Amino acid sequence: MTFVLATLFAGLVSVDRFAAFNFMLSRPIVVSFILGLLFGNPQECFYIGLVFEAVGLIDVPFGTRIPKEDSFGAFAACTLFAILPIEHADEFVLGFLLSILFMFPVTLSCTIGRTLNKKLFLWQHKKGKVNTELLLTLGLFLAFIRGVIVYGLGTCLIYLLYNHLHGYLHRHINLFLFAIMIFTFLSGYILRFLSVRSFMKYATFTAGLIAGWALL
Amino acid sequence: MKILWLLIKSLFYQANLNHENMQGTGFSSMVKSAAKAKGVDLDEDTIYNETAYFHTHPYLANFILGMWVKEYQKDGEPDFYKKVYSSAFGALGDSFFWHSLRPLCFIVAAILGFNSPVLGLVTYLVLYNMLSLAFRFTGFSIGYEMGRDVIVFFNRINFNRWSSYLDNVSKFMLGFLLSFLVKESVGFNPLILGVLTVYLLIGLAIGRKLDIVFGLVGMLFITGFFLYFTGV
Amino acid sequence: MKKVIFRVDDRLIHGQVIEGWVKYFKINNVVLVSDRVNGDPLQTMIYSSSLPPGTNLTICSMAEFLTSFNFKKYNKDFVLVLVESIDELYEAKGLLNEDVYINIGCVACREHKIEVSNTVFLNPAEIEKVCDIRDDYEVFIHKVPWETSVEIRNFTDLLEGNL
Repeated sequence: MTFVLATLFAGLVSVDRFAAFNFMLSRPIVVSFILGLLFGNPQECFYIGLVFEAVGLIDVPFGTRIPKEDSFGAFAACTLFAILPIEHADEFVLGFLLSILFMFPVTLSCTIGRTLNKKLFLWQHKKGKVNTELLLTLGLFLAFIRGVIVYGLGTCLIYLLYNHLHGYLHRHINLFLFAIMIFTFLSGYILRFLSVRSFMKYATFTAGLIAGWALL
Repeated sequence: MKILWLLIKSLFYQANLNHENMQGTGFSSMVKSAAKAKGVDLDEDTIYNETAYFHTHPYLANFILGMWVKEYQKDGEPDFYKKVYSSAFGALGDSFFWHSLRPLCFIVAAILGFNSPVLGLVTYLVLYNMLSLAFRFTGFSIGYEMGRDVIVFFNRINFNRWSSYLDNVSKFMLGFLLSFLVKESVGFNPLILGVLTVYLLIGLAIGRKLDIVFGLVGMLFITGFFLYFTGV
Repeated sequence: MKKVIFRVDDRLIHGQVIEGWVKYFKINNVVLVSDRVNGDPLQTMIYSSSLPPGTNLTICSMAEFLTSFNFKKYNKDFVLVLVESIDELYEAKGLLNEDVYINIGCVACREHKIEVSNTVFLNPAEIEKVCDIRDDYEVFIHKVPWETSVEIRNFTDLLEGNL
């Protein structure tokens, strides 16, 4: 049942990202919060969400460009970390790497989705009368199906590949620390991305660091 | 009621997004409903012509829709200003919503969601959608009221400055989040703090030089090795 | 990146231009060359309002641009020159030199145009003009700086739409 819900959620994520709403249900941190609640491992999912959200924050859908599928990355990684006992350094690296690697073909499926939309539009356009409601409904349907199939299939493939590849090193490490280290590195990218004059940028950030340490 | 239906419809108008006419299909569909809501009869040719290339920020499209209906009613130049505003609102919307609001909502949600995922989730969705829905739901009436001068509304609220204000807050909050995460998860460990500082500096140094995914892949390996060999 | 960027973009100032170029390179000077916008106070206000605070926008007609554009004025800062079409870029060919980054960003689909990339659609006459400019300078199709740019080299392929 949990996996059926997760798959349906994948369809919704794809629609939110690709076709309608834009309620930000597809943001990696939101995906991670929801999957964490669904799978019962909110803490692990939170840390995974941090990493993929940082990737997605600076890869923005400006104009016509299609950003990398950070939502899928978070979806696959959270699912993988929920169903597999991942607790060793090599396993973390492998899990993250496979999720990142599969973001590329999943992003390609967005391009294919747009091409299908284009073909549908041109098919109507040639007839000299465009049934906009039909095109929008088909677009929604395609986006939902894309989410269910591509996210589901991608996650299954990652699972299979992971089981096939994962090594036999057994040193227990801390996922939280691992994720924080990666997130700290990505914070450098986010800092670069946020546009404020350089001096102000670092002064404000440092003030935040001090306040965070002192107050909490 | 017709206006409410139009607003709901605007949530779906990107469903046929494609490189040929981008959001043109959705805009044409909305124009039909918007004109009906204002008692304007559009002929088939006009509706068909609106399927032409159109692309703007999704949260600000309703402003253009309102402006279009108003200009059409008074025999103005709806399609000319539709093109001008689609670019300008693309710039304004991308700067504020994508560039600035998303990072801020994420950072606030991450701080609050650390101990309570439900609180984090609700915070993100409420904080973000409060603003985006406000623009979506008021856009049509403001656009209709102001017509082709709708930019005055954005100037009145200094909208192009909002992005820099939020970016400043986000910078502070990002520092806050990092300190909070480290203190909560690791505590005071000079080795880890030193390593994290180096990580941050590396991120800053290569932030604009190397694609984030390649940077991330490299760091995953380095971090894996580091944790494996140090046994931290 | 070269300090002077000439970009063909039929949407002039939009999200990609602001986020991809103006904010990314911290460009403080934008020159919008358009006979359509120049002299129209409403359009001037619309485009000025869509820029981040602190960015100087100069709007001028093509004739003014050709006679008054001065590279030396911007030798330390970045300057982004926006024109709407390949025809306008061709008109300004005399101002181009090795220090200018020539970039075709977004030329939307119209009828009878060839898809050069998913955001650039040109007709054969425009392709000929790009090729003519390419004889002297490098021309790139480049949406945003962090994506790979495509240098236009193969004219035959370009004319066949197979970039």
